[in-house]
Amino acid sequence: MRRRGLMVTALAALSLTAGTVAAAAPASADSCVDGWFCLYYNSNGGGAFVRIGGNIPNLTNTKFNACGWNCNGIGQSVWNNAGSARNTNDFYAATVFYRFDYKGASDFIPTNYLSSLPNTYNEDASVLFGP
Amino acid sequence: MRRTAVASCAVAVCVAIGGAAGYATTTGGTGRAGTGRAELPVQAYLLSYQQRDDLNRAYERLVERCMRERGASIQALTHVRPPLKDLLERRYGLTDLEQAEQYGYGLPPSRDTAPPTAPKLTTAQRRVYDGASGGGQPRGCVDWAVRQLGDTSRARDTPFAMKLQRGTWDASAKDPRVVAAVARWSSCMSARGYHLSSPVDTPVKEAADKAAERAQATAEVRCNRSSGVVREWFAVEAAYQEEAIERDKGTLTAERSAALRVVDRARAVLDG
Repeated sequence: MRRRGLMVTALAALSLTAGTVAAAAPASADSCVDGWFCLYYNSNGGGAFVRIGGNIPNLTNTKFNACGWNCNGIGQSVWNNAGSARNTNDFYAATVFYRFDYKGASDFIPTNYLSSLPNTYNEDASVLFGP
Repeated sequence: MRRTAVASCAVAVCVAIGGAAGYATTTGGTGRAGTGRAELPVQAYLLSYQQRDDLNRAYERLVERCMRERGASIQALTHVRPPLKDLLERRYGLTDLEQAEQYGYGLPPSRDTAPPTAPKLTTAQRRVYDGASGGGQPRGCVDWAVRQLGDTSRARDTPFAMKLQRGTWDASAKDPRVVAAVARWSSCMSARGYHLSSPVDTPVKEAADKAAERAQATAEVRCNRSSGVVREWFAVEAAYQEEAIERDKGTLTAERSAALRVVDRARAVLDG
């Protein structure tokens, strides 16, 4: 996975539905695989994370369920709690929406990008693959 | 940006969609001439979803070509079309009555595409695809494709314009005119038995009950139309955007030029 550097975006609160359930065994932070989009408890891809495997119309009740470099935040809800996000796709952006069901304003997480999410901004409620 | 944009729908259909969706026609020149489909002012500084789609196609074609030329041919990469028409589609709530009646809040299956699984590559192919790590090693085909399109600085994502539209959505949401329109919508929904405060905050009570979801989504579309909330919010946000664009026109124009250069290269790949 290529790191192209950090982009500070104004995305913060992310609530996730049960996406793909990752294995409970600790994994490295670079194992954001088998899931094109990952959310991390800490910034810079640190802490526990959760892999998202598809479009999520309602991000609630998803918990950080895999250890990254460490297990900070493991088992916690992602709502208002995610410190960074990673899109691992080579070509397609992730589109994050500010309300459930792909409503509201939106933002792109660029390809092969680790995005830091300032806690001050607060609205991410659904995510789509592409364009 | 529409310098080389392909019309995304036939004129008659666009007019019908625009009218049915309740978007007012903009007074400025931002709407595509002849389509009748209104656009927000900021959309002139963003790549359309069609243009982004072209970029994705160009990437896929370039990577496949590169792999072939380096003796590591792969199967055609799966292409995924944009899941929505544009960033307006659900910006202020649902507007497509047929879609609501059939799918509730969901997308039609043909557009609800999960990311394709990553191509299964042998170690040798992976080296050509990703490039070997370490100094002096040849770049992989993915990196090569990015450079061919000149997209290394993520020009296509036009971050300044995207930040602008996030700000204007928030500002318009708080504007008294929108607040009033939202209240009208809420009354309309209340008369139909739904206690919801805003067309963009509409969680379904029972997630498993698809019939209930379809009913709520349908009610939402009808109230979006009768209350005029979508029309009003669009108009208010457009006004905020015009102001914001005037303030930073230089930055937006430069950003747009860079993004359009990438699109032009993508079109050359696709047309070549």
